[in-house]
Amino acid sequence: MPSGELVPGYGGASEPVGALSESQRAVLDRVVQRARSICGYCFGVYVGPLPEGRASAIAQHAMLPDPTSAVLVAVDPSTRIIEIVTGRTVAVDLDDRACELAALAMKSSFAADDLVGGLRDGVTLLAEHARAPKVMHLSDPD
Amino acid sequence: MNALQALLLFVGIPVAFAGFVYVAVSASSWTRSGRASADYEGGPFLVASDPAVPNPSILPNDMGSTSVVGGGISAQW
Repeated sequence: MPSGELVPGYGGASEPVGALSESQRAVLDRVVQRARSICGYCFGVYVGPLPEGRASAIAQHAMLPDPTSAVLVAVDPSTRIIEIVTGRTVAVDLDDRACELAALAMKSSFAADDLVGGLRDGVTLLAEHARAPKVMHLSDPD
Repeated sequence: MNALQALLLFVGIPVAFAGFVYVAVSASSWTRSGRASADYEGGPFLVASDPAVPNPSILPNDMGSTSVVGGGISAQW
């Protein structure tokens, strides 16, 4: 925890937040939960300063539960930086090319000042790509 | 139709319509919710889903490795 004021609430949003409204936080919470239900991996979204760029994003990623099976989308709106960090296990199903595609989708929404919409599209796209193919006798019958 | 009426018809109405369109397009960025990009003033925000679902088909490929990060990208808009 870099600043001591960020309390991760797994399965819920953290406090405090200024620019994101309650409804926007609720949307992001639903987005990450839905992404987890799509592919089974843990998803996290971080919006805030990334003073050391990717190193800061990796530090945030390490705070997620079971980071090897987690994906973090970190966005710094002030410097307009997007960082996507995938855990070692997730990287098997979610390659960097899929991350680039998701970043591209997010960029177009961010350019239109739609922060939440971009995160929603990007996380959903990542979850769709991270969905591993069903394995006989291991996948639950649907 | 005198000159004033013609001016209002061919200049006033188009200008008023252009102004209406401009306001309609840019009004969202004047509100607080629409400004959550360049002038983001909120504190850091982290939301995470529940932990990953255990998957027995995924085997630890390198048990000795301490690296947690497997990949990812950096981008800017």
